[in-house]
Amino acid sequence: MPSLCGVRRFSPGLPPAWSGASLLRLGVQATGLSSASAGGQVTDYSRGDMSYAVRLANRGYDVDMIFRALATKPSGRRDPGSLKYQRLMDTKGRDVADAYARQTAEKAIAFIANSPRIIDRTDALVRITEIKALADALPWGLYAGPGARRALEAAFSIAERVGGLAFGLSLREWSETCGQDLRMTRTNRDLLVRLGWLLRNPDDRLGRTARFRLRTPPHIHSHGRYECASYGAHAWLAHDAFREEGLGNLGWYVLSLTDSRPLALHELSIRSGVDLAELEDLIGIMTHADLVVGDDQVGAVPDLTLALDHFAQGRGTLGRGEADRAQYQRDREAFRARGVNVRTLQEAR
Amino acid sequence: MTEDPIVVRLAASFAEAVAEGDLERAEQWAEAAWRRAHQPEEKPSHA
Repeated sequence: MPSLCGVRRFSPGLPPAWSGASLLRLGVQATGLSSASAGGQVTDYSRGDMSYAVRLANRGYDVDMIFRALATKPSGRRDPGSLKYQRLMDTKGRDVADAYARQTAEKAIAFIANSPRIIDRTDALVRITEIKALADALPWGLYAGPGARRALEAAFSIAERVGGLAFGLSLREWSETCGQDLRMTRTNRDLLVRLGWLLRNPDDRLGRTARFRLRTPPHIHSHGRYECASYGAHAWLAHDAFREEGLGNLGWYVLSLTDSRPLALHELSIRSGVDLAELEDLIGIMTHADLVVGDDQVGAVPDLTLALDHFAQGRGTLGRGEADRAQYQRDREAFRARGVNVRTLQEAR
Repeated sequence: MTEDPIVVRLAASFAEAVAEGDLERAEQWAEAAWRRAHQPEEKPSHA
């Protein structure tokens, strides 16, 4: 119902006892309107859809993702993405409904571009950087494993993109971002939640995109000190060279530590919490593949992406991420078309 | 210049955004670095 608080300001002659509700009743009597229409209870589906689309756009969704959300079919306890979309589909066909959803998505993106939401991105960026610095100060080889650190890096990447500590992230999108398969991504995500790096929104419903909030785990204390470590690890986070048959999560972790400045092997071992012998084997492979250079101190080569491409090609993992993305896209379309449980599809493969 | 590692990190992100030509993002990182540099120093948690 629209607020009527301001009415009295413009009607100084009104008796003071008249509330907004009294005014509404009076207006309904005077004009002959139904109380529903006067009270703002008219259901405007387009407006509701636009509001939903803008919320998604604010969370970093692109046109295709918003389009898919609006076109979501109802199934079981899940509500449809848009009632108007379903109605158009029933009465005028899929093309008209799709055109409506796409137009709404495009309008939402344009709205966000023209009127960015009022949030303090700056404070969020500072906080994200502080949490990331704390994460970099830990030897993940001993703490929770390099795979968890890599999954956390994906969370940092999304949080920075969204410009806030809280974000929605589906398991498939997480998997695409960090370059791990679904099973490994789920394991690492759940571990990060258990350790307290991520707080899962308790109001999440099954089948909806999970929402998380980055935070400093209660068992980690900064003492005002932070390590300076990886800056540019986002760029090759999901590279095919880090598949299990390639360098794996450990390869990513070691390269991200040596990317900003070269480290002596024993220092690298202390920083990463990885056994020195295991590290020597890995560095040997990386040196052979021209990914790192140096004798006393090991550092990543400047143009890592090119070297990683060569390595992935040699290991036969190049294109694996692209194939996964295509598969996830097919799963999403199958889900939209038939309401198939994608998780069942994944487990059946 | 500052020795605060967080400011250094924020500045690095700023430089990265500039290198990528994303000036809008660069501006946000620069503002974040400025704000961090001008906020009161964090005290050790056991102090």
